[in-house]
Amino acid sequence: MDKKILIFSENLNNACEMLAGAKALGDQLAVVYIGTDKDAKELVAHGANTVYLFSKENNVPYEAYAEDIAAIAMEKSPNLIMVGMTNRGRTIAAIVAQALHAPCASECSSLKLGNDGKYVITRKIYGGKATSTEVCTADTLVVTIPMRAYEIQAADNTLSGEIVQLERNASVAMKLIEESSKSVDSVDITAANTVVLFGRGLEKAEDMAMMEELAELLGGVTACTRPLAVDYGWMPTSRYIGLSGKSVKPALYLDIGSSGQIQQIAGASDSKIIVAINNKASEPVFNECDYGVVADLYEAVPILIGLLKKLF
Amino acid sequence: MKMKTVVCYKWVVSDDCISVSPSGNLEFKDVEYDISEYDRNAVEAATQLAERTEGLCVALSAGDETLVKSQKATLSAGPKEGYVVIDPIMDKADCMVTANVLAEAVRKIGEVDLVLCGEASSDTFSQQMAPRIARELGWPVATYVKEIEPGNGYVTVTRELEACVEKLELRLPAVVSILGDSNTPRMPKLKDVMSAGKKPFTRWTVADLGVENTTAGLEIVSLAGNSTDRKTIILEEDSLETTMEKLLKSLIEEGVVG
Repeated sequence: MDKKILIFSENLNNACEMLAGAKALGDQLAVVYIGTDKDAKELVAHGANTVYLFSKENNVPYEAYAEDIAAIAMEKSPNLIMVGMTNRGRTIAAIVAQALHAPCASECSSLKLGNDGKYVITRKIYGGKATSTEVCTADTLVVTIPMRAYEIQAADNTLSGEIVQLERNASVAMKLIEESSKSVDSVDITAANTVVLFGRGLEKAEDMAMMEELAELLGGVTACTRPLAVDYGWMPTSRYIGLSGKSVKPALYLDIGSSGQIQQIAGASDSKIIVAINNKASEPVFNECDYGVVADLYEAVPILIGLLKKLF
Repeated sequence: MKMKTVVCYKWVVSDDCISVSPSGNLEFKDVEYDISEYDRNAVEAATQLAERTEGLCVALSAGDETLVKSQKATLSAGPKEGYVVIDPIMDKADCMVTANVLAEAVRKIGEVDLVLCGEASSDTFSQQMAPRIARELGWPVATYVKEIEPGNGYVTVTRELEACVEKLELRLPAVVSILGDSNTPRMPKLKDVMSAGKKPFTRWTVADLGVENTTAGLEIVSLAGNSTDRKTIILEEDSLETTMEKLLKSLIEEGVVG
């Protein structure tokens, strides 16, 4: 194959996932990571031939490392740069791509190495209505990869690799003033098997109790759309699904009282089964569900709760 | 400090005009164009900053001839001047080429303090413009911005990320991308629309700008309509009670309940 791959992620697990996926795409695997020596050894155990390690500094956002990552890329000329698709990852990927004057394919649904040695990607455009298949004609391709796109493999401590400790070089004209963690609670909606999402169809905060009851009967968790968390403050900001929020991949996803605009439902598009309950038949969510019920949620949800109670 | 803001916008086919036929063909019907959704929020943010600092807001875009028709829509929403780069090179431009073109245009506009972009365009949703333009110009960048406060030689931005809300100070000149829904774009009044046609609207080609790298690195091989993978079974029985029973039964059969 003779292809060099450079991987970057803010998240150790995600970097290990991409290492697993990278095996089909190249044979020299390097990872840039901001963390500890222990993290670097973990990456080697997951297949990294080289780890470029930076120490995490306080008050320095990850984006400040973009120039250093670009410098490594410019020196080593990888054929493929895989970047974990967090909010910051997307930004870093674009900066690194521009530094190399390389193309960047965001949020690929698939990534393959063609027989002619060129990388081919597919991605969704037009709000998910179309799939674009694109071939990279440049020497280096940058791609952003969603979390859990590849399955992490077991660590192999017999593997060896080079760990190169580096120091952040570039100075950036940005100063971090304040970072406030989004109000978090003990619930991790990204790990749940069932998610009950509600949107602006819910009239008042007290009505969330009904959604909690439904979620509990289904053995799942509740989540909401962005306005309910950010504007109304009904839920912690770690509990909303959408572009600047979380993405989930449950077996069952209920979308209740939310229109299902593409950037919203994209956060749950990998769910096994999607159910929509909304009182407007024309809402986009009905084109993106497996089962849909056009009804007032204040009638439909209590009925569903009653049926589930009889069941269990 | 008076701020000169440049807001980059994309002139896109309205989402409503795009559909997928039952046989899976992508169809464009009664095509209409509009400013990409999040770019409207960027236009509003750029205009507000110029108004607050008694500065100037101008609009910038790159594309094909359809851009000529964007004058009224854009210049009625706040910006006082428009610049459009119209060139056949844009037909095959990828994000890298587009960023090169827009960055050179920003240089040619001159004395710019802040470039604003929407977080992503509604059609291709690559989310790359702001970081790329910033890198090309050598300026700092902040993405996922929901608030901007002007300062003296800097701006303070509030970013909304998955796990945190971050406040950053960016030395000017800088680039930001604005989150959709982060403000309410003003409704142009009739007089704004009428006067938009008289505001300065400058047209450039790529050659006018002296852009060096105009070869795209990604080539579209095919574009296919996605019939949704979802079943889209809309349940409707005689009563809501029986409908919900049928729903529950289906979910049990799917193995996702019970």
